[in-house]
Amino acid sequence: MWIYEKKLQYPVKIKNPNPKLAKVIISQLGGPHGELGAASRYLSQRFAMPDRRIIGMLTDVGTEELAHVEIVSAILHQLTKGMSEEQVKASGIDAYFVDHTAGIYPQAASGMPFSTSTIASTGDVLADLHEDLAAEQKARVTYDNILRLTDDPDVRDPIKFLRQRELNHYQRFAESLGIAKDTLADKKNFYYYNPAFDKV
Amino acid sequence: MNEKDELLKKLQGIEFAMVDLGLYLDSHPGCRDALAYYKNLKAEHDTLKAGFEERFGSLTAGSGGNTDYWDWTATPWPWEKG
Repeated sequence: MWIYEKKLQYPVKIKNPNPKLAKVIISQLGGPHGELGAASRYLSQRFAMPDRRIIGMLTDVGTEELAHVEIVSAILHQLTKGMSEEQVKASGIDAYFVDHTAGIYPQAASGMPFSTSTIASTGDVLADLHEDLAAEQKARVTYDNILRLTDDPDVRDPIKFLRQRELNHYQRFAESLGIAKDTLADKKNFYYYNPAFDKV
Repeated sequence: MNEKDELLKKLQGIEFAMVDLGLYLDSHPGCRDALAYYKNLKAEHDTLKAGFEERFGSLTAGSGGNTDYWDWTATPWPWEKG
């Protein structure tokens, strides 16, 4: 089960609203490489993992991703809070505004609603861990692109923190993949069987 | 039921009471009876939890007292059978 703590993992204090920027950062909430997908991916994959250490990694990283959902949401909230109707029209956030006003709704920058079609949970240990390594890199790219689109230090600071976490998670998942391979029965052929399904 | 499951069931019962009472307190933050009840539950919970962790390992990452080994990933996950 989960317990909520009333604090952000990393502080968010944005002085200047900027709905145009919110329009692109929203992808890290509900987009194809976003934090909601990351949390769903890792917390779902745990059940097919044969090693308690890897389950622990997916639990802890998945839990941290939920904290990142909250950080990105806080950024979006502060970027859009108090925006005027004129700003809504001029920034291009009007297409979002018409359905969600200044509320937080998980979607991609393109407008596509959050979808689990952007994550994988294959029930295969090695396939899932490779998916996770790729997912962390893809999220890192999105943060890199967000950093290319803003000069505001108040926004860049928490985004840089989130970007760095992708690198750390990537490293830990690489180690998890090593643990998985070390514990498979046939070290000459990792794909000989799937310990989450096959009986040997 | 083994001792671990029995202790866990007690803890789950108290935690559930705290969760449900917490929802009530969210909408009735000044209710003194509920606050007193919560305080009692929390004291019982904290004692039980510490006792459980001492014997069966951490319930949250790093919460147990084991300084020799990171027991968080050594003990069974809740969906493991047996």
